[in-house]
Amino acid sequence: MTTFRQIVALTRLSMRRLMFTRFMFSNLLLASLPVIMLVVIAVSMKLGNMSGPGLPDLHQGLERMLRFFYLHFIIFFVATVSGFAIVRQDLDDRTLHYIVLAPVKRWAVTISKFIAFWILSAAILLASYWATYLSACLIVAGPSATVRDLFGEAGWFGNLVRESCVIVLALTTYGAIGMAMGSVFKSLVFAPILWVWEATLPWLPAGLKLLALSHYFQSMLPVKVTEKQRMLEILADPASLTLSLTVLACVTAISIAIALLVNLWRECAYIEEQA
Amino acid sequence: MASNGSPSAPSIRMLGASRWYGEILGINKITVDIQPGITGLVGPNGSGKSTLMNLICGLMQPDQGRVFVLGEDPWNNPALLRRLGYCTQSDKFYENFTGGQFMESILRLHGNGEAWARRTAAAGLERLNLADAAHKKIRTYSKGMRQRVKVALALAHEPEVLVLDEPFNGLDPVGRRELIRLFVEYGREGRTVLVSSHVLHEIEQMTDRILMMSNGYVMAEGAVREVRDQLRSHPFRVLVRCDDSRRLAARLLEEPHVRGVEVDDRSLTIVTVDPDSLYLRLNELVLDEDFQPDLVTLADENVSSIFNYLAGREHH
Repeated sequence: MTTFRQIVALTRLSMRRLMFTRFMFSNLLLASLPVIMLVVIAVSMKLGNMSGPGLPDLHQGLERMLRFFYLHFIIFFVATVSGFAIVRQDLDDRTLHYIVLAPVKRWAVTISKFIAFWILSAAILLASYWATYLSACLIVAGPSATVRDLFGEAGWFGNLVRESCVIVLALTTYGAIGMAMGSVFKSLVFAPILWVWEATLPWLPAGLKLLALSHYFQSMLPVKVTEKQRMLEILADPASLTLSLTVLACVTAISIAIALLVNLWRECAYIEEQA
Repeated sequence: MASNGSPSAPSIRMLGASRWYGEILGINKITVDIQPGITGLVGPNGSGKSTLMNLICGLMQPDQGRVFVLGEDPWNNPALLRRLGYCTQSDKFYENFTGGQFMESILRLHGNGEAWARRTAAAGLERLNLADAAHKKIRTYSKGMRQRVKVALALAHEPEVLVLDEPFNGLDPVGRRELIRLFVEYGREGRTVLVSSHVLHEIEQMTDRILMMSNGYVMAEGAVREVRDQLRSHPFRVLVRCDDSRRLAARLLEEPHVRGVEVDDRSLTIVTVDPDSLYLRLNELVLDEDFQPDLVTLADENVSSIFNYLAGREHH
Protein backbone atom coordinates (compact mmCIF):
# COMPACT_ATOMS: atom_id res chain seq x y z
CA MET A 1 0.00 0.00 0.00
CA THR A 2 2.83 2.37 0.91
CA THR A 3 4.64 1.72 -2.37
CA PHE A 4 1.40 2.26 -4.29
CA ARG A 5 0.85 5.57 -2.51
CA GLN A 6 4.44 6.56 -3.28
CA ILE A 7 3.99 5.72 -6.97
CA VAL A 8 0.80 7.80 -7.10
CA ALA A 9 2.50 10.71 -5.34
CA LEU A 10 5.57 10.56 -7.55
CA THR A 11 3.46 10.24 -10.70
CA ARG A 12 1.54 13.37 -9.74
CA LEU A 13 4.74 15.22 -8.92
CA SER A 14 6.39 14.18 -12.19
CA MET A 15 3.33 15.13 -14.25
CA ARG A 16 3.19 18.49 -12.60
CA ARG A 17 6.86 19.10 -13.22
CA LEU A 18 6.72 17.86 -16.82
CA MET A 19 3.90 20.28 -17.58
CA PHE A 20 6.22 23.20 -16.86
CA THR A 21 9.08 22.08 -19.10
CA ARG A 22 9.87 23.72 -22.42
CA PHE A 23 9.34 20.33 -24.05
CA MET A 24 5.68 20.39 -23.09
CA PHE A 25 5.10 23.65 -24.93
CA SER A 26 6.65 22.26 -28.12
CA ASN A 27 4.65 19.04 -27.74
CA LEU A 28 1.37 20.93 -27.43
CA LEU A 29 2.26 23.02 -30.45
CA LEU A 30 3.14 19.93 -32.46
CA ALA A 31 -0.02 18.11 -31.42
CA SER A 32 -2.24 21.03 -32.37
CA LEU A 33 -0.70 21.34 -35.87
CA PRO A 34 -3.15 18.96 -37.64
CA VAL A 35 -6.20 20.83 -36.35
CA ILE A 36 -4.66 24.14 -37.32
CA MET A 37 -3.83 22.76 -40.77
CA LEU A 38 -7.38 21.49 -41.26
CA VAL A 39 -8.89 24.81 -40.28
CA VAL A 40 -6.57 26.64 -42.70
CA ILE A 41 -7.47 24.21 -45.51
CA ALA A 42 -11.19 24.54 -44.78
CA VAL A 43 -11.06 28.32 -44.75
CA SER A 44 -9.05 28.35 -48.00
CA MET A 45 -11.55 26.04 -49.70
CA LYS A 46 -14.48 28.11 -48.53
CA LEU A 47 -12.89 31.33 -49.74
CA GLY A 48 -12.07 29.73 -53.10
CA ASN A 49 -15.53 28.10 -53.40
CA MET A 50 -13.79 24.74 -53.87
CA SER A 51 -15.55 21.47 -53.16
CA GLY A 52 -13.88 19.13 -50.67
CA PRO A 53 -13.90 15.35 -50.41
CA GLY A 54 -16.98 13.42 -49.37
CA LEU A 55 -17.20 11.77 -45.98
CA PRO A 56 -16.25 8.30 -47.29
CA ASP A 57 -13.03 9.66 -48.79
CA LEU A 58 -12.36 11.64 -45.69
CA HIS A 59 -11.68 8.69 -43.51
CA GLN A 60 -9.06 7.36 -45.85
CA GLY A 61 -7.48 10.79 -45.90
CA LEU A 62 -7.37 10.83 -42.13
CA GLU A 63 -5.86 7.37 -42.11
CA ARG A 64 -3.07 8.59 -44.35
CA MET A 65 -2.57 11.55 -42.07
CA LEU A 66 -2.24 9.12 -39.20
CA ARG A 67 0.24 6.96 -41.11
CA PHE A 68 2.51 9.67 -42.41
CA PHE A 69 2.06 12.70 -40.23
CA TYR A 70 1.12 11.34 -36.81
CA LEU A 71 3.14 8.13 -36.64
CA HIS A 72 6.25 9.42 -38.34
CA PHE A 73 6.25 12.88 -36.91
CA ILE A 74 3.93 13.93 -34.11
CA ILE A 75 3.77 10.71 -32.08
CA PHE A 76 7.45 9.99 -32.60
CA PHE A 77 8.63 13.37 -31.39
CA VAL A 78 6.07 13.89 -28.63
CA ALA A 79 6.80 10.42 -27.21
CA THR A 80 10.59 10.37 -27.49
CA VAL A 81 10.98 13.96 -26.31
CA SER A 82 8.61 13.53 -23.35
CA GLY A 83 10.09 10.14 -22.45
CA PHE A 84 13.53 11.73 -22.54
CA ALA A 85 12.44 14.78 -20.56
CA ILE A 86 10.71 12.82 -17.81
CA VAL A 87 14.06 11.30 -16.83
CA ARG A 88 16.30 14.25 -17.61
CA GLN A 89 14.28 16.97 -15.90
CA ASP A 90 15.55 16.12 -12.41
CA LEU A 91 19.11 15.70 -13.64
CA ASP A 92 19.15 18.87 -15.72
CA ASP A 93 17.48 20.89 -12.95
CA ARG A 94 19.78 19.24 -10.42
CA THR A 95 16.85 18.37 -8.20
CA LEU A 96 17.15 14.59 -8.36
CA HIS A 97 18.39 14.43 -4.77
CA TYR A 98 14.97 15.40 -3.43
CA ILE A 99 13.55 12.19 -4.90
CA VAL A 100 16.57 10.01 -4.20
CA LEU A 101 16.57 11.11 -0.56
CA ALA A 102 12.89 10.20 -0.19
CA PRO A 103 12.25 6.65 1.00
CA VAL A 104 11.13 5.43 -2.42
CA LYS A 105 12.50 2.35 -4.15
CA ARG A 106 14.43 3.24 -7.29
CA TRP A 107 12.33 1.01 -9.53
CA ALA A 108 9.22 2.80 -8.26
CA VAL A 109 10.77 6.14 -9.22
CA THR A 110 11.37 5.00 -12.80
CA ILE A 111 7.96 3.38 -13.16
CA SER A 112 6.20 6.43 -11.70
CA LYS A 113 7.95 8.66 -14.16
CA PHE A 114 6.96 6.42 -17.04
CA ILE A 115 3.32 6.44 -15.90
CA ALA A 116 3.43 10.25 -15.63
CA PHE A 117 4.85 10.52 -19.14
CA TRP A 118 2.31 8.02 -20.46
CA ILE A 119 -0.76 9.75 -19.00
CA LEU A 120 0.28 13.21 -20.21
CA SER A 121 1.37 12.10 -23.67
CA ALA A 122 -1.65 9.88 -24.22
CA ALA A 123 -3.93 12.75 -23.24
CA ILE A 124 -2.19 15.13 -25.65
CA LEU A 125 -1.98 12.73 -28.60
CA LEU A 126 -5.46 11.23 -28.30
CA ALA A 127 -7.00 14.66 -27.82
CA SER A 128 -5.10 15.84 -30.87
CA TYR A 129 -6.18 12.92 -33.06
CA TRP A 130 -9.82 12.96 -31.98
CA ALA A 131 -9.94 16.73 -32.40
CA THR A 132 -8.46 16.33 -35.88
CA TYR A 133 -10.96 13.61 -36.73
CA LEU A 134 -13.97 15.52 -35.47
CA SER A 135 -12.84 18.80 -37.03
CA ALA A 136 -12.36 17.13 -40.39
CA CYS A 137 -15.79 15.48 -40.23
CA LEU A 138 -17.46 18.70 -39.15
CA ILE A 139 -15.73 20.65 -41.89
CA VAL A 140 -16.90 18.17 -44.54
CA ALA A 141 -20.39 17.48 -43.20
CA GLY A 142 -21.07 21.02 -42.00
CA PRO A 143 -22.32 22.27 -38.67
CA SER A 144 -25.49 20.18 -38.88
CA ALA A 145 -23.53 16.92 -38.90
CA THR A 146 -25.15 13.97 -37.16
CA VAL A 147 -23.47 11.25 -35.15
CA ARG A 148 -23.77 9.02 -38.22
CA ASP A 149 -21.93 11.69 -40.26
CA LEU A 150 -19.20 11.78 -37.70
CA PHE A 151 -18.69 8.09 -37.16
CA GLY A 152 -20.27 6.66 -40.33
CA GLU A 153 -21.79 3.29 -40.83
CA ALA A 154 -18.88 1.23 -42.08
CA GLY A 155 -17.17 0.63 -38.75
CA TRP A 156 -15.64 4.08 -38.54
CA PHE A 157 -16.01 4.19 -34.80
CA GLY A 158 -14.31 0.81 -34.51
CA ASN A 159 -11.54 2.13 -36.72
CA LEU A 160 -11.18 5.21 -34.54
CA VAL A 161 -10.83 3.03 -31.46
CA ARG A 162 -8.26 0.81 -33.19
CA GLU A 163 -6.34 3.84 -34.41
CA SER A 164 -6.36 5.22 -30.89
CA CYS A 165 -4.93 1.93 -29.63
CA VAL A 166 -2.13 2.14 -32.22
CA ILE A 167 -1.41 5.71 -31.12
CA VAL A 168 -1.17 4.57 -27.49
CA LEU A 169 1.04 1.63 -28.44
CA ALA A 170 3.30 3.87 -30.47
CA LEU A 171 3.67 6.44 -27.73
CA THR A 172 4.36 3.67 -25.21
CA THR A 173 7.15 2.15 -27.30
CA TYR A 174 8.71 5.39 -28.49
CA GLY A 175 8.34 6.86 -24.98
CA ALA A 176 10.13 3.87 -23.44
CA ILE A 177 12.94 4.33 -25.97
CA GLY A 178 13.02 8.05 -25.14
CA MET A 179 13.23 7.24 -21.44
CA ALA A 180 16.08 4.80 -22.02
CA MET A 181 17.88 7.48 -24.06
CA GLY A 182 17.31 10.02 -21.28
CA SER A 183 18.73 7.57 -18.75
CA VAL A 184 21.88 6.89 -20.75
CA PHE A 185 22.57 10.09 -22.72
CA LYS A 186 22.58 13.76 -21.78
CA SER A 187 21.06 14.97 -25.04
CA LEU A 188 18.52 13.82 -27.59
CA VAL A 189 21.22 13.44 -30.23
CA PHE A 190 20.14 9.91 -31.13
CA ALA A 191 16.46 10.81 -31.63
CA PRO A 192 16.98 12.24 -35.16
CA ILE A 193 18.96 9.13 -36.12
CA LEU A 194 16.14 6.93 -34.87
CA TRP A 195 13.65 9.14 -36.67
CA VAL A 196 15.46 8.75 -40.01
CA TRP A 197 15.63 5.02 -39.37
CA GLU A 198 11.92 4.82 -38.59
CA ALA A 199 10.87 7.03 -41.47
CA THR A 200 13.08 5.36 -44.09
CA LEU A 201 12.93 1.66 -43.40
CA PRO A 202 9.22 1.11 -44.12
CA TRP A 203 9.93 2.10 -47.73
CA LEU A 204 12.59 -0.54 -48.08
CA PRO A 205 12.25 -4.22 -49.04
CA ALA A 206 10.35 -6.55 -46.76
CA GLY A 207 13.33 -7.94 -44.86
CA LEU A 208 14.54 -4.49 -43.84
CA LYS A 209 11.09 -3.29 -42.92
CA LEU A 210 11.02 -5.74 -40.08
CA LEU A 211 13.76 -3.70 -38.38
CA ALA A 212 11.58 -0.59 -38.12
CA LEU A 213 8.99 -0.20 -35.39
CA SER A 214 6.89 2.02 -37.62
CA HIS A 215 6.30 -1.00 -39.88
CA TYR A 216 4.49 -2.78 -37.05
CA PHE A 217 2.40 0.28 -36.18
CA GLN A 218 1.44 0.63 -39.84
CA SER A 219 0.53 -3.06 -39.97
CA MET A 220 -1.98 -2.67 -37.16
CA LEU A 221 -3.90 0.23 -38.68
CA PRO A 222 -7.40 -0.79 -39.81
CA VAL A 223 -7.85 0.92 -43.18
CA LYS A 224 -5.94 -0.56 -46.11
CA VAL A 225 -4.57 1.68 -48.77
CA THR A 226 -6.29 1.32 -52.15
CA GLU A 227 -4.67 0.27 -55.42
CA LYS A 228 -4.70 3.78 -56.85
CA GLN A 229 -2.66 5.00 -53.91
CA ARG A 230 -0.04 2.37 -54.60
CA MET A 231 2.72 4.97 -54.77
CA LEU A 232 2.15 5.80 -51.16
CA GLU A 233 1.60 2.27 -50.04
CA ILE A 234 4.08 1.06 -47.54
CA LEU A 235 2.14 -1.95 -46.37
CA ALA A 236 3.11 -4.33 -49.11
CA ASP A 237 3.91 -6.98 -46.53
CA PRO A 238 2.10 -6.13 -43.29
CA ALA A 239 3.22 -8.00 -40.21
CA SER A 240 0.70 -10.10 -38.34
CA LEU A 241 -0.94 -8.63 -35.24
CA THR A 242 0.75 -11.24 -33.03
CA LEU A 243 4.20 -10.52 -34.42
CA SER A 244 3.62 -6.76 -34.20
CA LEU A 245 2.50 -6.89 -30.57
CA THR A 246 5.33 -9.26 -29.62
CA VAL A 247 8.02 -7.08 -31.19
CA LEU A 248 6.63 -3.88 -29.69
CA ALA A 249 6.27 -5.46 -26.24
CA CYS A 250 9.86 -6.72 -26.37
CA VAL A 251 11.29 -3.35 -27.46
CA THR A 252 9.26 -1.54 -24.79
CA ALA A 253 10.29 -4.00 -22.07
CA ILE A 254 13.98 -3.81 -23.03
CA SER A 255 13.90 0.00 -23.08
CA ILE A 256 12.21 0.19 -19.67
CA ALA A 257 14.67 -2.38 -18.29
CA ILE A 258 17.60 -0.22 -19.48
CA ALA A 259 16.07 2.84 -17.80
CA LEU A 260 15.43 0.87 -14.61
CA LEU A 261 18.97 -0.49 -14.45
CA VAL A 262 20.67 2.83 -15.18
CA ASN A 263 18.53 4.68 -12.66
CA LEU A 264 19.03 1.97 -10.06
CA TRP A 265 22.74 2.77 -10.02
CA ARG A 266 22.52 6.48 -10.64
CA GLU A 267 24.36 8.74 -8.23
CA CYS A 268 23.67 12.40 -7.49
CA ALA A 269 27.24 13.42 -8.28
CA TYR A 270 26.16 16.87 -9.45
CA ILE A 271 25.83 17.98 -5.83
CA GLU A 272 29.55 17.54 -5.37
CA GLU A 273 30.23 19.46 -8.59
CA GLN A 274 28.28 22.38 -7.18
CA ALA A 275 29.99 22.33 -3.81
CA MET B 1 26.87 -3.62 13.79
CA ALA B 2 25.10 -1.85 16.61
CA SER B 3 22.13 0.22 15.68
CA ASN B 4 20.27 0.81 18.90
CA GLY B 5 21.39 4.39 19.33
CA SER B 6 22.97 3.74 22.73
CA PRO B 7 25.75 6.17 23.68
CA SER B 8 28.45 3.66 22.83
CA ALA B 9 27.02 2.71 19.45
CA PRO B 10 28.16 4.89 16.57
CA SER B 11 25.29 6.18 14.47
CA ILE B 12 27.60 6.61 11.52
CA ARG B 13 30.59 4.42 10.79
CA MET B 14 32.99 4.74 7.87
CA LEU B 15 35.55 2.03 7.32
CA GLY B 16 38.34 2.97 4.93
CA ALA B 17 35.88 4.82 2.68
CA SER B 18 37.37 6.38 -0.43
CA ARG B 19 35.78 8.18 -3.33
CA TRP B 20 37.31 9.66 -6.47
CA TYR B 21 35.85 11.77 -9.26
CA GLY B 22 37.85 10.42 -12.14
CA GLU B 23 41.39 11.29 -11.15
CA ILE B 24 40.33 13.84 -8.56
CA LEU B 25 40.26 12.66 -4.99
CA GLY B 26 37.05 13.24 -3.04
CA ILE B 27 37.90 11.49 0.20
CA ASN B 28 40.62 8.96 0.90
CA LYS B 29 40.51 5.96 3.26
CA ILE B 30 38.41 7.60 5.91
CA THR B 31 37.73 5.51 8.98
CA VAL B 32 35.62 7.29 11.53
CA ASP B 33 32.81 6.69 14.04
CA ILE B 34 30.23 9.39 14.71
CA GLN B 35 28.22 9.11 17.91
CA PRO B 36 24.76 10.51 18.69
CA GLY B 37 24.80 14.22 19.52
CA ILE B 38 26.21 17.02 17.40
CA THR B 39 29.42 16.58 15.46
CA GLY B 40 30.90 19.42 13.48
CA LEU B 41 32.58 18.71 10.16
CA VAL B 42 35.04 21.48 9.47
CA GLY B 43 37.59 22.18 6.82
CA PRO B 44 38.31 24.49 3.93
CA ASN B 45 36.24 24.41 0.74
CA GLY B 46 37.11 21.39 -1.37
CA SER B 47 38.31 19.37 1.60
CA GLY B 48 35.80 16.55 1.01
CA LYS B 49 33.06 17.46 3.48
CA SER B 50 30.23 17.23 0.94
CA THR B 51 31.56 13.97 -0.48
CA LEU B 52 31.61 12.47 2.98
CA MET B 53 28.04 13.59 3.61
CA ASN B 54 26.82 12.36 0.23
CA LEU B 55 28.27 8.94 1.00
CA ILE B 56 26.61 8.90 4.42
CA CYS B 57 23.24 9.77 2.89
CA GLY B 58 23.47 7.28 0.04
CA LEU B 59 23.63 9.80 -2.79
CA MET B 60 26.88 8.18 -3.84
CA GLN B 61 28.73 4.94 -3.28
CA PRO B 62 32.28 4.66 -2.01
CA ASP B 63 34.84 3.38 -4.51
CA GLN B 64 36.49 1.54 -1.64
CA GLY B 65 35.54 0.81 1.95
CA ARG B 66 32.15 0.71 3.64
CA VAL B 67 29.71 3.21 5.10
CA PHE B 68 27.13 2.35 7.74
CA VAL B 69 24.36 4.55 9.10
CA LEU B 70 22.42 3.16 12.06
CA GLY B 71 24.07 -0.13 11.22
CA GLU B 72 22.90 -0.23 7.60
CA ASP B 73 24.42 0.50 4.22
CA PRO B 74 22.79 3.77 3.06
CA TRP B 75 23.08 3.06 -0.69
CA ASN B 76 19.67 2.26 -2.21
CA ASN B 77 18.15 1.81 1.24
CA PRO B 78 14.68 3.46 1.33
CA ALA B 79 13.93 2.10 4.82
CA LEU B 80 16.97 3.90 6.20
CA LEU B 81 15.99 7.13 4.47
CA ARG B 82 12.92 7.30 6.73
CA ARG B 83 15.37 7.69 9.63
CA LEU B 84 17.73 10.06 7.86
CA GLY B 85 17.44 13.75 6.93
CA TYR B 86 19.87 15.54 4.65
CA CYS B 87 20.09 19.24 3.91
CA THR B 88 22.38 19.44 0.89
CA GLN B 89 24.42 22.41 -0.20
CA SER B 90 22.53 22.54 -3.49
CA ASP B 91 20.34 25.59 -3.98
CA LYS B 92 18.08 24.01 -6.62
CA PHE B 93 14.34 23.74 -6.10
CA TYR B 94 11.12 23.23 -8.02
CA GLU B 95 10.95 26.95 -8.66
CA ASN B 96 7.32 26.95 -9.85
CA PHE B 97 6.11 25.42 -6.60
CA THR B 98 5.22 27.35 -3.48
CA GLY B 99 7.14 26.48 -0.33
CA GLY B 100 4.12 24.57 0.97
CA GLN B 101 3.60 22.66 -2.30
CA PHE B 102 7.27 21.78 -2.46
CA MET B 103 7.39 20.41 1.09
CA GLU B 104 4.10 18.58 0.70
CA SER B 105 5.04 17.03 -2.65
CA ILE B 106 8.29 15.63 -1.31
CA LEU B 107 6.76 14.45 1.96
CA ARG B 108 4.02 12.60 0.05
CA LEU B 109 6.80 10.39 -1.29
CA HIS B 110 7.08 8.88 2.18
CA GLY B 111 3.82 7.10 1.43
CA ASN B 112 2.19 8.09 4.72
CA GLY B 113 -0.84 9.67 3.07
CA GLU B 114 -1.77 13.17 2.00
CA ALA B 115 -3.07 14.30 5.39
CA TRP B 116 0.23 13.38 7.06
CA ALA B 117 2.21 15.12 4.31
CA ARG B 118 0.11 18.28 4.60
CA ARG B 119 0.30 18.35 8.38
CA THR B 120 4.04 17.62 8.46
CA ALA B 121 4.82 20.19 5.77
CA ALA B 122 2.89 22.88 7.63
CA ALA B 123 4.57 22.02 10.93
CA GLY B 124 8.00 21.96 9.28
CA LEU B 125 7.56 25.39 7.72
CA GLU B 126 6.17 26.75 10.98
CA ARG B 127 9.23 25.47 12.86
CA LEU B 128 11.51 27.40 10.50
CA ASN B 129 9.32 30.55 10.64
CA LEU B 130 8.22 30.14 7.04
CA ALA B 131 4.48 29.70 7.62
CA ASP B 132 3.73 33.15 6.17
CA ALA B 133 5.72 32.36 3.03
CA ALA B 134 4.21 28.91 2.49
CA HIS B 135 1.94 30.17 -0.29
CA LYS B 136 4.60 32.10 -2.17
CA LYS B 137 6.53 30.64 -5.08
CA ILE B 138 10.00 29.47 -4.17
CA ARG B 139 11.50 31.54 -7.00
CA THR B 140 10.52 34.65 -5.01
CA TYR B 141 12.32 33.46 -1.85
CA SER B 142 15.47 35.10 -0.56
CA LYS B 143 18.63 33.06 -0.15
CA GLY B 144 17.97 32.75 3.58
CA MET B 145 14.40 31.53 3.03
CA ARG B 146 15.56 28.95 0.51
CA GLN B 147 18.11 27.75 3.02
CA ARG B 148 15.42 27.43 5.69
CA VAL B 149 13.11 25.47 3.36
CA LYS B 150 15.88 22.92 2.85
CA VAL B 151 16.44 22.62 6.58
CA ALA B 152 12.67 22.36 7.16
CA LEU B 153 12.46 19.51 4.67
CA ALA B 154 15.41 17.67 6.22
CA LEU B 155 13.88 17.98 9.71
CA ALA B 156 10.21 17.48 8.83
CA HIS B 157 10.02 13.72 9.30
CA GLU B 158 11.96 13.88 12.59
CA PRO B 159 14.94 11.79 11.45
CA GLU B 160 17.23 10.03 13.89
CA VAL B 161 20.25 11.12 11.89
CA LEU B 162 20.36 14.65 10.54
CA VAL B 163 23.09 15.63 8.07
CA LEU B 164 23.48 19.33 7.27
CA ASP B 165 25.87 20.60 4.63
CA GLU B 166 26.71 24.26 5.23
CA PRO B 167 23.23 25.04 6.62
CA PHE B 168 24.16 28.60 7.63
CA ASN B 169 25.01 29.79 4.11
CA GLY B 170 23.07 32.90 3.22
CA LEU B 171 21.48 33.31 6.64
CA ASP B 172 21.55 36.55 8.59
CA PRO B 173 22.92 36.48 12.18
CA VAL B 174 19.43 36.09 13.67
CA GLY B 175 18.65 33.21 11.34
CA ARG B 176 21.95 31.55 12.19
CA ARG B 177 21.26 31.86 15.91
CA GLU B 178 17.81 30.33 15.50
CA LEU B 179 19.16 27.41 13.51
CA ILE B 180 21.97 26.82 15.98
CA ARG B 181 19.41 26.70 18.80
CA LEU B 182 17.28 24.28 16.79
CA PHE B 183 20.19 21.93 16.06
CA VAL B 184 21.37 22.03 19.68
CA GLU B 185 17.88 21.02 20.85
CA TYR B 186 17.82 18.27 18.28
CA GLY B 187 21.18 16.93 19.41
CA ARG B 188 20.12 17.03 23.06
CA GLU B 189 17.24 14.69 22.24
CA GLY B 190 19.85 12.01 21.60
CA ARG B 191 19.72 12.22 17.82
CA THR B 192 22.78 12.37 15.65
CA VAL B 193 23.50 15.69 13.97
CA LEU B 194 26.42 16.02 11.57
CA VAL B 195 26.82 19.61 10.49
CA SER B 196 29.47 21.01 8.19
CA SER B 197 30.79 24.51 8.01
CA HIS B 198 33.94 26.24 6.90
CA VAL B 199 33.35 28.75 9.72
CA LEU B 200 34.68 27.16 12.88
CA HIS B 201 33.08 29.47 15.41
CA GLU B 202 29.61 28.49 14.17
CA ILE B 203 30.40 24.89 14.95
CA GLU B 204 31.90 25.79 18.31
CA GLN B 205 28.59 27.36 19.34
CA MET B 206 26.89 23.99 18.90
CA THR B 207 29.42 21.39 19.86
CA ASP B 208 32.94 20.78 21.03
CA ARG B 209 33.20 17.63 18.92
CA ILE B 210 34.62 18.11 15.45
CA LEU B 211 36.03 16.25 12.51
CA MET B 212 38.69 18.23 10.74
CA MET B 213 39.08 17.54 7.01
CA SER B 214 41.61 18.62 4.45
CA ASN B 215 42.32 17.39 0.93
CA GLY B 216 40.04 14.38 1.35
CA TYR B 217 41.56 13.22 4.62
CA VAL B 218 40.35 13.47 8.20
CA MET B 219 43.21 15.48 9.67
CA ALA B 220 42.01 15.24 13.24
CA GLU B 221 38.96 14.46 15.31
CA GLY B 222 37.79 15.09 18.84
CA ALA B 223 37.26 18.21 20.93
CA VAL B 224 38.30 21.48 19.30
CA ARG B 225 41.12 21.91 21.84
CA GLU B 226 42.38 18.38 21.26
CA VAL B 227 42.32 18.91 17.52
CA ARG B 228 44.37 22.05 17.89
CA ASP B 229 46.88 20.09 19.96
CA GLN B 230 46.95 17.27 17.41
CA LEU B 231 47.71 19.73 14.67
CA ARG B 232 50.39 21.40 16.77
CA SER B 233 52.32 18.13 16.79
CA HIS B 234 51.80 17.77 13.04
CA PRO B 235 55.17 18.22 11.26
CA PHE B 236 55.35 21.25 8.98
CA ARG B 237 57.70 21.66 6.04
CA VAL B 238 59.34 25.06 5.72
CA LEU B 239 61.25 26.03 2.59
CA VAL B 240 64.21 28.40 2.94
CA ARG B 241 66.21 29.68 -0.04
CA CYS B 242 69.65 30.86 0.94
CA ASP B 243 73.22 30.88 -0.51
CA ASP B 244 74.77 29.20 2.51
CA SER B 245 72.16 26.47 2.76
CA ARG B 246 74.42 23.71 4.12
CA ARG B 247 75.72 25.79 7.02
CA LEU B 248 72.19 26.95 7.85
CA ALA B 249 70.97 23.33 7.80
CA ALA B 250 73.67 22.33 10.26
CA ARG B 251 72.68 25.15 12.62
CA LEU B 252 68.96 24.33 12.45
CA LEU B 253 69.48 20.63 13.09
CA GLU B 254 70.58 21.60 16.60
CA GLU B 255 67.06 22.82 17.38
CA PRO B 256 64.88 20.31 19.31
CA HIS B 257 61.73 21.02 17.27
CA VAL B 258 63.46 20.32 13.94
CA ARG B 259 62.88 16.75 12.84
CA GLY B 260 64.87 16.78 9.62
CA VAL B 261 66.40 18.90 6.86
CA GLU B 262 66.71 18.29 3.13
CA VAL B 263 69.42 20.36 1.47
CA ASP B 264 69.87 21.47 -2.15
CA ASP B 265 72.49 23.83 -3.57
CA ARG B 266 70.55 26.99 -2.84
CA SER B 267 67.66 25.85 -0.69
CA LEU B 268 66.70 23.66 2.23
CA THR B 269 63.44 22.17 3.41
CA ILE B 270 63.10 21.94 7.17
CA VAL B 271 60.65 19.58 8.86
CA THR B 272 59.52 21.04 12.18
CA VAL B 273 56.72 20.51 14.68
CA ASP B 274 56.86 24.15 15.79
CA PRO B 275 57.06 26.58 12.87
CA ASP B 276 56.71 29.63 15.16
CA SER B 277 59.89 28.65 17.04
CA LEU B 278 61.63 27.97 13.75
CA TYR B 279 60.80 31.44 12.44
CA LEU B 280 62.13 33.01 15.65
CA ARG B 281 65.35 31.00 15.39
CA LEU B 282 65.78 31.94 11.75
CA ASN B 283 65.47 35.61 12.68
CA GLU B 284 68.15 35.15 15.32
CA LEU B 285 70.45 33.41 12.84
CA VAL B 286 69.97 36.17 10.28
CA LEU B 287 70.90 38.80 12.83
CA ASP B 288 73.70 36.93 14.64
CA GLU B 289 75.37 34.88 11.92
CA ASP B 290 74.64 36.94 8.82
CA PHE B 291 72.59 34.43 6.87
CA GLN B 292 70.78 36.08 3.95
CA PRO B 293 67.69 34.00 3.09
CA ASP B 294 65.74 35.41 0.16
CA LEU B 295 62.69 33.18 0.72
CA VAL B 296 61.12 31.61 3.82
CA THR B 297 57.75 29.90 3.30
CA LEU B 298 55.67 27.01 4.52
CA ALA B 299 55.97 24.28 1.90
CA ASP B 300 52.71 22.70 3.00
CA GLU B 301 50.17 25.49 2.51
CA ASN B 302 47.14 23.38 3.32
CA VAL B 303 48.37 22.35 6.70
CA SER B 304 49.34 25.92 7.27
CA SER B 305 45.92 27.22 6.41
CA ILE B 306 44.22 24.67 8.63
CA PHE B 307 46.50 25.43 11.48
CA ASN B 308 45.87 29.14 11.08
CA TYR B 309 42.21 28.45 10.75
CA LEU B 310 42.04 26.46 13.95
CA ALA B 311 44.27 28.92 15.72
CA GLY B 312 41.86 31.67 14.71
CA ARG B 313 44.44 33.52 12.65
CA GLU B 314 42.31 33.70 9.53
CA HIS B 315 39.59 36.20 8.84
CA HIS B 316 36.34 34.45 8.16
